Amino acid sequence: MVLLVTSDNVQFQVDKEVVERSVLIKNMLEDVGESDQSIPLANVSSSVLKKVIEYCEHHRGEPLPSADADQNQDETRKRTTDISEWDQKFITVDQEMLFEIILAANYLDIKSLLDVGCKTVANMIKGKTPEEIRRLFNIVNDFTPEEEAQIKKENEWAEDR
Amino acid sequence: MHPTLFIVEVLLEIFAYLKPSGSASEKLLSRRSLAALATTCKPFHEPAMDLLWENLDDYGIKPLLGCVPRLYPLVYANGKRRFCSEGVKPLSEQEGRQFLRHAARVRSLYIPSDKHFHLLIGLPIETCVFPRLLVLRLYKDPGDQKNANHWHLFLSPVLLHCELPAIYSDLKSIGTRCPGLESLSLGSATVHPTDELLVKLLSETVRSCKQLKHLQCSPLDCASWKHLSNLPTLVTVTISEEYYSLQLDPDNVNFAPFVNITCLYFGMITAAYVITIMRHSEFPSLKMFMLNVMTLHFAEAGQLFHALSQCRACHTLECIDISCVNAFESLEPLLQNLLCFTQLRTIKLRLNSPIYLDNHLLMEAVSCWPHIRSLSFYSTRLVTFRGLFAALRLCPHLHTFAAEIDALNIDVDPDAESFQHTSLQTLDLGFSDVDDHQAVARIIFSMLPRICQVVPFRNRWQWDKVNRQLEYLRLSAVNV
Repeated sequence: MVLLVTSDNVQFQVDKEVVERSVLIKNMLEDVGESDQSIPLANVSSSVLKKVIEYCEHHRGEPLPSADADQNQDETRKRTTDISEWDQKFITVDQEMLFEIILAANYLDIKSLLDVGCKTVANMIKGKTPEEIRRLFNIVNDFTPEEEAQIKKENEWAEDR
Repeated sequence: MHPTLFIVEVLLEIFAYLKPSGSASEKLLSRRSLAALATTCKPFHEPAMDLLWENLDDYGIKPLLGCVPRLYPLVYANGKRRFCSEGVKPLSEQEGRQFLRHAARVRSLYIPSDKHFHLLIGLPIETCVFPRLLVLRLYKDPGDQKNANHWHLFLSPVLLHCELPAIYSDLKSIGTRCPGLESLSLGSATVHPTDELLVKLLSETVRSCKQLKHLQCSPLDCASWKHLSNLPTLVTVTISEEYYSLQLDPDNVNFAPFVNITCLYFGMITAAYVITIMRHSEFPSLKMFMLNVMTLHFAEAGQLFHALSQCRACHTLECIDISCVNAFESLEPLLQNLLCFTQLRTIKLRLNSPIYLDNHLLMEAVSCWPHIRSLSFYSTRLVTFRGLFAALRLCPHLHTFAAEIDALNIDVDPDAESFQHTSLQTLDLGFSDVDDHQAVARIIFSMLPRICQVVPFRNRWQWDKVNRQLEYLRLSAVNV
């Protein structure tokens, strides 16, 4: 078992096999060797880590993407925005939690979880207008009207069927 | 806005799922989404624009011309998709900069025609329009030469894949301008008045490339082959002879081994050129040899098969596919030359004259090819059912057998045989004749359970009877 300590100082005892889905933690464990030392995760809160562990538990034993997976493999993976049924249910959370999971997956280097989070956001964006995207993610439009008009003109070809 | 959306690597991960791919409507949706993201806010702009402009395969250079204010109304006038640049003045220096505004984002480009190239005439000669372009495919009317001197503008130092409709003089140093070029395809459309010039130009072009993995072009001269023979990166070579015929001087041929070539494909008028290449080279990694030739005389076929057997590919070659349109005249055995290829999976000889094949030779062949999966000849009708099944016992993985057999003289009693071949799925008996359709159907039904229909080339009416009987036997077996 591995002891993880979150940013809000909550401790989690997790199976090594589960926690090693995080490349960051796997590397840390390899560096410290056999030790009872806890691993501090300063960028992850307990509520987010709980979700991350739930994900890793569910996907325990599945093959991990190899570090030297070639670009083609990566391209193929990115061609689909399909998400499995369990993952979809898992990632049905409020927007704040969704982004926190993405942030944690990026920090902990859990590629498959990062994929699920990013696919979900991409699916939310698909087909929306700039104004709808701004509203969805609470984004301030920092373009001047002239800049915005210029970009729209340059990208007009993208509307061609 | 959540801080996660300020992290560029996360943004790139998210936006990557919106990269245009799939059907036309899916691509349109992705492009619209990326265009929307590029207009949403400044942090999104650059990554979204990079992905949106990455692939212009469906648009050519029209989107770049649309960035020039003078051309914008012409490019997008009344929503019309066809932009006619005829009579439009070339770009000024400042317009050139506007044209290049997003060009550095383009990684893949298909240019269907050079009809807008005259607009680029003012770009400085040293300009590299697409400095990050990886894939370039050009199609144009090969007869139209008026804009042939502009191709260099499209060559990027990182180009990996290039398809050109013909050979152009301003591209003869393509390998120097694109040092990492891995894949080069040069159409054989005639550009120059004499073949000699064309061959020289092609030779210079090919020899300028030092990292090629895949090459497709017209027949090459000795100097080019010598250069290629020393390229350890080279994996596939496709040579197609359409408009001119080239011969190599056998006394002037001195090649290094093509150490990593796995696939050779030749589409030729005669086989002499190929025979010279195969005779004077070693291909220790060759897995696939394909030749499509107009005429192959018997003597040439013998020379070719012999050359093939001598080129150090005996333990690597997995596929031999040779076809010719015009017949040769002799029926002497030729197959013996190919028995050395111990790894053969596929052999396809469509020579328009029957290959000599009898029970003994078929047996000898399959004993030498234990991995054979597909066997396809136009052959003499000397193999009997007994010979066929004896051979099938030795090749358990065979899924396709296409050859003529003697189906008139039935020498197998299915009731007395317990053998079944469960891999064979395609039985193409070509020109074979059949008489006792009931007996033949019973043999196939009992011994080749995965064959539902025999594929005939001739005598369809007779074989239809066999197939109907096969169906009857199958239905009867189900009902029992």
